[in-house]
Amino acid sequence: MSRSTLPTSTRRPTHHHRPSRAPIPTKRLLVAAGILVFLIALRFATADAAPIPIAAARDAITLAISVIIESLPFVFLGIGLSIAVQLWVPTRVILRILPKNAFGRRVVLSFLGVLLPVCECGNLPLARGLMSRGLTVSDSVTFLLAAPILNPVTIITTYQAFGWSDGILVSRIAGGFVIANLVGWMISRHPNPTNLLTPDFAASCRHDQAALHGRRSRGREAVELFSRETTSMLPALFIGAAIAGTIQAAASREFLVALGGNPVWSVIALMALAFVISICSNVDAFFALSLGSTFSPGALIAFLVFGPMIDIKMLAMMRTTFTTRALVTLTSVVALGALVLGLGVNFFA
Amino acid sequence: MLDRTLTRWLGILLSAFGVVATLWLAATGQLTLYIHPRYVVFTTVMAAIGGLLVIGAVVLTFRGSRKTGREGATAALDSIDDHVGHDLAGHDHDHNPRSPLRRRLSAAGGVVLVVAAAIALLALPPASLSTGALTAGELDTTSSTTLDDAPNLVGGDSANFNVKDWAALLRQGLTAGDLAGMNADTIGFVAPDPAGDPDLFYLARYSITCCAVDAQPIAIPVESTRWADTVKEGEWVRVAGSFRDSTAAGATTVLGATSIEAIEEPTEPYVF
Repeated sequence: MSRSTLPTSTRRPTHHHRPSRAPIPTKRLLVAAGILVFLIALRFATADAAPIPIAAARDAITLAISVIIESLPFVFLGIGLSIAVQLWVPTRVILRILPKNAFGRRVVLSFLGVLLPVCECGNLPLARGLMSRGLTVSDSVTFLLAAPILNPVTIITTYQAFGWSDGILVSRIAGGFVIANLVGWMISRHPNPTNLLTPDFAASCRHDQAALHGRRSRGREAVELFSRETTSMLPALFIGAAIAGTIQAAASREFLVALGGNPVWSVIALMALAFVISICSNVDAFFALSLGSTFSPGALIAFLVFGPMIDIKMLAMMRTTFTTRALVTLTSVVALGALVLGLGVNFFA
Repeated sequence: MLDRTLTRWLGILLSAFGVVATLWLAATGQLTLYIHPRYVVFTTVMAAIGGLLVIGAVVLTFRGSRKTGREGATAALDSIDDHVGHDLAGHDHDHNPRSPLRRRLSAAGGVVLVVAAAIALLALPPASLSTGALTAGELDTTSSTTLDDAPNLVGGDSANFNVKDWAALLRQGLTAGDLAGMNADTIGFVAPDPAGDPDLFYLARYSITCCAVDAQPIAIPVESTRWADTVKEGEWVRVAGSFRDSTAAGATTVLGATSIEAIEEPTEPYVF
């Protein structure tokens, strides 16, 4: 598939030659190398600079950087997988192996995370890649919501943290699966699911599906996809991390912890905490464990189901793809699902 | 012009910031200021791969734009611009044409983001979370299961125990009698007693389960007459002594300090 959004007038002359034999413009490359050297030099030069004197501001930055450094590898991994899916897996293969029946297709896609164990920040580029390969919005959202929970890394870390106690592991897996498929089903009932996408992303999907393979080298395609996905994802990740770090530094966790014992409020409090701290689904179980005896099991389950699907960082990133209205609805449904699950466990389990 | 350059290079530039910052932290052994040690290898490897992708993107972009000539380069930029340019604006709007104002705003936002990210990731010195007063709720370890999986430490080589090990022992309900003969010699920062007892402070460290975002304080009570005369709140100290029953009301087990000295912040301030 080529980025063939080029106007037809320019496409003809530009694609007869493989670009790979072209010489590299030395001057521009020197500029790029110069920038890289400058960045590295800047880092070494400022290593011992005076820290910011205001503790709260310094902590907010430290927390934001920790979110970025923790998430960035997963974003790269997700973009890498997304590029691989878009360039090396033909659409017909994807569409052939999936069941024709919409319900069955969403069920299968819920478990795609088993093969592609990326956490939520890596899933979004992948879901975008799947949509631009022609998968429907409802199918992709089902994958996007289910995969961070239904993947081996998350399941293993949750098991390590909790074992079988309180049914936390089982409720997390079942809850994630049910909520993801519920949301997918709701979107499939939408008269025009494409309206849930930002106009720009929808347009880029149309381009991609209309595009033909083989016009340009795969390497060049991959690099353009990398530029495009990082330009979409990283600003959102950085802004989301900054917001999460600021809130975390400004607001005391004390207040939330004080609500811990109450069967209703503890569920809401931990969902709020999951929303704010935006930690990665692959590791959030360890964090939940540290809250273990303060909070009710239902609250922990709500934390472990809601957090991977929706948090500040994810909303910032999802906004590149979905409209605000779609995200508000999505967040409400997922929050409601997690709340019902948490309360159900507290009152009936 | 500016917004076009930005949409072409923003992702690559921000990736480069993240890669340089991560690899530099890894090379200088400071990644654990931000993430748990178990992710250090994964993070370093992925950052290196990201770095290769960034370099590849730069080289291939230049090579492509040279070969196809000026017209081709412009077209290629248009293509990227169509795909991602609008994402930056972050608004729903009619597809084309973009209003000049919106283009300028989105370009300005991009520039601010690049500058802020460069400062935060590359120009500010790496910092650990600030130390200082902790609230009674934060100091209450009775409910924390962070300490649950502590191995059986009694009778171990207590010289190497950190604050977390001692806190785990105290939480198991061990008394001064159980801990007799085990001398503590460990570091942490000073958190005053929330109740205001001038002869009691908490020796604290942050414990991290995933990354600095989830840091939780772990502390042990230290008894030392008028400690504020020697050390300050938030200061890193090395405390030696042995455990005994508190002289104050309430039969809690405290560390009776025989020596307290101020130290530099350790290179690894957190416990894991």
